[in-house]
Amino acid sequence: MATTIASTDVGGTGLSTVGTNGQVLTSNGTTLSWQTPAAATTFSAGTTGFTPNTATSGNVTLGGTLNVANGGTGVTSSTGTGSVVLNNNSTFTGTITMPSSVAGLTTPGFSTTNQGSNQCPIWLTRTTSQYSGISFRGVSTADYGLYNKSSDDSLYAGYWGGAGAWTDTLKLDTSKNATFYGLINANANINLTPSASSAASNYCVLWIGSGTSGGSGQIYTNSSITLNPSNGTVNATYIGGNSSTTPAVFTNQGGSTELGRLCRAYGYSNGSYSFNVSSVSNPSAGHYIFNFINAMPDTNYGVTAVGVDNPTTEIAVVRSNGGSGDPSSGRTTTAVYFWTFVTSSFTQTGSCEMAIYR
Amino acid sequence: MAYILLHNDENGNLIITTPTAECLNSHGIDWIKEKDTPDHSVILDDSVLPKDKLYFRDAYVFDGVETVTIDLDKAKAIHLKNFNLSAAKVAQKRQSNTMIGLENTPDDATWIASLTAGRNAIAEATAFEQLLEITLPS
Repeated sequence: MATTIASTDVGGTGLSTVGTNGQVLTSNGTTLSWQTPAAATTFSAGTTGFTPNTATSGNVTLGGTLNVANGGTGVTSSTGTGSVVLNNNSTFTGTITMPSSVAGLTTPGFSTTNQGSNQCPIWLTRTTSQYSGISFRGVSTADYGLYNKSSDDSLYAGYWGGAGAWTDTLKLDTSKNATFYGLINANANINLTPSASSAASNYCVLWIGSGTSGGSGQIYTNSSITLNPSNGTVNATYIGGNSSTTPAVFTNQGGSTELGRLCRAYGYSNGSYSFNVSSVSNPSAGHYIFNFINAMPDTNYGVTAVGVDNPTTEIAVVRSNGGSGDPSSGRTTTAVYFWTFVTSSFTQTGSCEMAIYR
Repeated sequence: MAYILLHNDENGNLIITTPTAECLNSHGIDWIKEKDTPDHSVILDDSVLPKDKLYFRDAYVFDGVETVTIDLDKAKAIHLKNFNLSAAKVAQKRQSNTMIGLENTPDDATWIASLTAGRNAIAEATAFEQLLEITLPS
């Protein structure tokens, strides 16, 4: 049976022979033929960063680092597992050029304006009516943020409670003041330390109330408060008691023992000077009743008095104890009664001054 | 104006109440009147008081309205009592002088005569101003 060679028209090769070892079937666009392929005798990676970068024959091992220009990193040493490859150092030393806007963010955005030396390389610029800031997503409904409002130049820390507005917690202003809008809960000491460059007096002031103009304020503790100034002096314009009628009580440290009481009233019989004395009544010669503005809590108060006159007249002063003509026992919560006399005679020439302790 | 509050007690004795400067500034005279004196007390200037610096205090008589006068008999008694108290005090000093050998001036007879003259002048006075001119023994 005669052998038929299939032409390329019907899917054959049109060839009647098999090529020699190593030849490949090649088309020239018209016919097929067996050809021996040209062999690669050398290899070079050129400027890609890989090696060898010169024509090299024989068995070639690819090495080196693919350069940035060819889509590589150019990094020749590891920056560690999981780290971002920045350069051949683990510390960023280059320059990041921020985009003037970021897709998905409107305002606030990033500013690329150079703000000069010693200023933050990254900042946020507020546009009209907007806040600039950074927010942090909370675990539930509240987000937290550091922001600057359109209303002033202060920096705020606060939270977004879902009510469509930020709720301020802390404000830092350009006067170096910090304003807290809630409680200050300290788990350690709160130190007020004056700076070395402050006023000559170099002191710290804790204002309670409406700023430096003063105002009412209270400090509550579950026990005593110890004020321990280095010079031993506590300066106060007013020291109040804990009720409307009782003054502060002087005690030992800790308050367990009362050690002193105050002068609750004093005055001169002609009314020229006094404290807590409304008037001095004179029912007869040498008799004086000192009437108190604010009544004593009881009659268990101490009384001292001295006569006042010229040196040649001996004036004795006695507190009445309910004698004839006395309005009462001579000592009430609202008044105290004195007699002044020379020898056995009451005398109007004798004045007196007195003090009440309670 | 220096306020004083005057009223008479149930026995007709004058009570003089002097407001303190402290309370006048803080509360005012009306508050003091209401708190420290009865309703019938009167607010007056202290110029209504006699010019004796309260020497005859127990002789003062208040008419309940605005006038304070001096009961002359009481004033004489006050001045005589003070006269005798002062005389006794001087006498003690003169006696001490005698005991330690010091001479008294004036002598006893002259001094006693001056005391008698003073007591007579007190008894014969017709106005308290005359009493004030009778000095106490010294």
